[in-house]
Amino acid sequence: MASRRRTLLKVIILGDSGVGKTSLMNQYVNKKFSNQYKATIGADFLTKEVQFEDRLFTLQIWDTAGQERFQSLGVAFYRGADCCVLVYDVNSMKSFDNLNNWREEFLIQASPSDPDNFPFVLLGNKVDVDGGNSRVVSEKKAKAWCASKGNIPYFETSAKDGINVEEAFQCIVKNALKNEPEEELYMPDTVDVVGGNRGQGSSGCC
Amino acid sequence: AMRTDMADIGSEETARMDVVYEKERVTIHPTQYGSGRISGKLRLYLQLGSLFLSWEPNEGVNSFSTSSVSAEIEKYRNLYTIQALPLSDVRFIRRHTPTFGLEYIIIVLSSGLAFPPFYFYNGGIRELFATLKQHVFIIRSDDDPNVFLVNDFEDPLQKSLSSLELPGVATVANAMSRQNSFSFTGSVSEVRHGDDAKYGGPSTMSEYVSKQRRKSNDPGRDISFQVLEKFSLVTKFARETTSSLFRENHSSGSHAYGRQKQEYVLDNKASDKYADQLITPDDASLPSDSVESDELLLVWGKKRGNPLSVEEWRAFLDPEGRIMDSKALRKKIFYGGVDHVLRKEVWKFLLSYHEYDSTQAEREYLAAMKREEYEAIKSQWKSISTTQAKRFTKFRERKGLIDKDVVRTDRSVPYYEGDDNPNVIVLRDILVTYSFYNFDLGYCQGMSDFLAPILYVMEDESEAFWCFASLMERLGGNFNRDQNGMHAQLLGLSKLVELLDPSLHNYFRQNDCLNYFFCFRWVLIQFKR
Repeated sequence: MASRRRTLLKVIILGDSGVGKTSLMNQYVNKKFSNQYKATIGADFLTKEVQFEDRLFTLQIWDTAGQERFQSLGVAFYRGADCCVLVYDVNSMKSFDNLNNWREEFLIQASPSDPDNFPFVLLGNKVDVDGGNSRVVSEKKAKAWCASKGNIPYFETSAKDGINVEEAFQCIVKNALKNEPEEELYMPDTVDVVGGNRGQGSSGCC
Repeated sequence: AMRTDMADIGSEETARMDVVYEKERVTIHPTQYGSGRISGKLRLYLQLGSLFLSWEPNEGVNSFSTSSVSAEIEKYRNLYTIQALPLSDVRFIRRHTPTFGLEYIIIVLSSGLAFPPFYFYNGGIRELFATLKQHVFIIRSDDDPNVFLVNDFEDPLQKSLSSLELPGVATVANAMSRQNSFSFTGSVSEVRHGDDAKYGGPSTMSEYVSKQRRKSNDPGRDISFQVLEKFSLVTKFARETTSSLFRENHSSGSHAYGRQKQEYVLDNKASDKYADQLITPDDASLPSDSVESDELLLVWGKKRGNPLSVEEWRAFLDPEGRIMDSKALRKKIFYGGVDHVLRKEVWKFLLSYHEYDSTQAEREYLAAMKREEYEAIKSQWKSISTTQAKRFTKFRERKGLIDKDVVRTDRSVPYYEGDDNPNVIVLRDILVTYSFYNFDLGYCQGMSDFLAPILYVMEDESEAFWCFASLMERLGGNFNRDQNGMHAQLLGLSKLVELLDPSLHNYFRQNDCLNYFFCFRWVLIQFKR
């Protein structure tokens, strides 16, 4: 039974160019922030060993390029994802407005078996910028969007200062596991069999 | 003896058929009568490394109507059976998804012939395309989102790569890997003359192979093999390089890799000064004359030469400043690079901004004209006011993207480092101007990676712009909105690896990496990072 347990979790990070996808991934995996990231071309991934409820997983985090033009690559990268992390910049309305597109594009390209219940997590990044004074997307607005998409868990993060990054990825792991139907057979105690009410409320899920 | 081996391997391979897609109740409607429907099984399968499509009608299940109709159906059943259609023969597939009624596809061949519509009674069209995408180069047509072009290449190089005879060659490749040798020339000639080798398997497959083999007398094909022989030299070189890298790595730690990587990059990039800044130069402590390092100084099997010096450069120029033997010049640079002091001058030719047979006076005149032209294009966007920009989303988005990227481009190089660096602003201005100069292509991530070293060498906004614009004439296809250029490049790459390093190819196949997307960045920005 143990051998049938899944150990690899695949997570895709999507969002507009420059919202901080690479930074979030690096902050989570390497606990580092650099001002000198380069624009991601194509896609990159990092892996991290994580423990969740006494089980060990390899989290494979795919960092994708934000420019729309690279989206035709999506098919290859999105396939087999267990969770999709959407990122926007709280200081950029456009990056927030584009969330719908990213979400839909993911569902089309990855074509998960149960699109209505596929786990997404939303991160509003760069809350540190200018002490919050340049912020244009309110927490309320972001939460309303999450509620309208079936209660997507939401975190406000700063990849630069490491705010909420660990918490967000804990939630991502938890949700990625919920997408694993086989798990229900073997690990019924860790699965919310009722389903559908992931992340009660819209502020986080843990 | 080798010929026999190959025949054996050939039949072994032919016998293996990996079905990657199968759908029952895929039906044709050759007549207007409901009873005239012929249901069958559609399959995609891999054989000898190529993808084939087949459609087998079910045995006579519909033939309960009048005998004349059933005879007609029998005729269609035979007519439309597809035993083994290589996907390389398909031009495009059109998908029809009517709001009411069954989904169907129409397959159109390169020859212009089309099969009748295949109706999917059990669904499965999406899976069909998903499977196709994994194995062949397929893209959505710009003109009609329901049309999926197969093997559509605009670039003649890609076209020639795609037309390489893969089934036969894959056998050669397998034979090579069995022997663990790289005697590519020998193997190729065996295939070329080995027409008596026997291939087993289904008849259609054999026909396909023999049809392909007959092509082997084409002079064009011989040329492609000559090219491949050259490539095999590169593979051999790359292998030796890699293994010596690993050896070195084990013996003297990570410094060695840094140094060797640097040397290797220099060979063809001709940008050592820039590379010195990009890669932490900690090679002072390393012996520069070790045997392993010397091996890495080979360029296409030849020893790396000295960089083009000022004296040598002058010798190439006639009294009026024309380059007398551009081919010899390029060869010299290919094998040795260019002294940094000359780059500013020489790169303008290499990047096709200046003509080799232009005179010094002509170039000076051109530079002045081009400077004005550049300023004119730049003023087009510089004059856009804030209020105008508010109503110009496309402009705002492009500029926003460029603003975000220039501060992420080569910032560890002193020329671009620090806050409010004026060179970063110039980088931005050139890219925005280019996106107006070539509005259709616009800006795509990766362009700033090309421009940064050019601007660093030119130290002049207009000159850097025109050099960059010339480079984009050559590489622009890779940045196309639909990513066609890149898909074609990656397909070409996959075919080369399949030919030259079959064991690596098999490894990629087993790990579902044949789309070669992991090479995307390397190819797009030419191994800059």
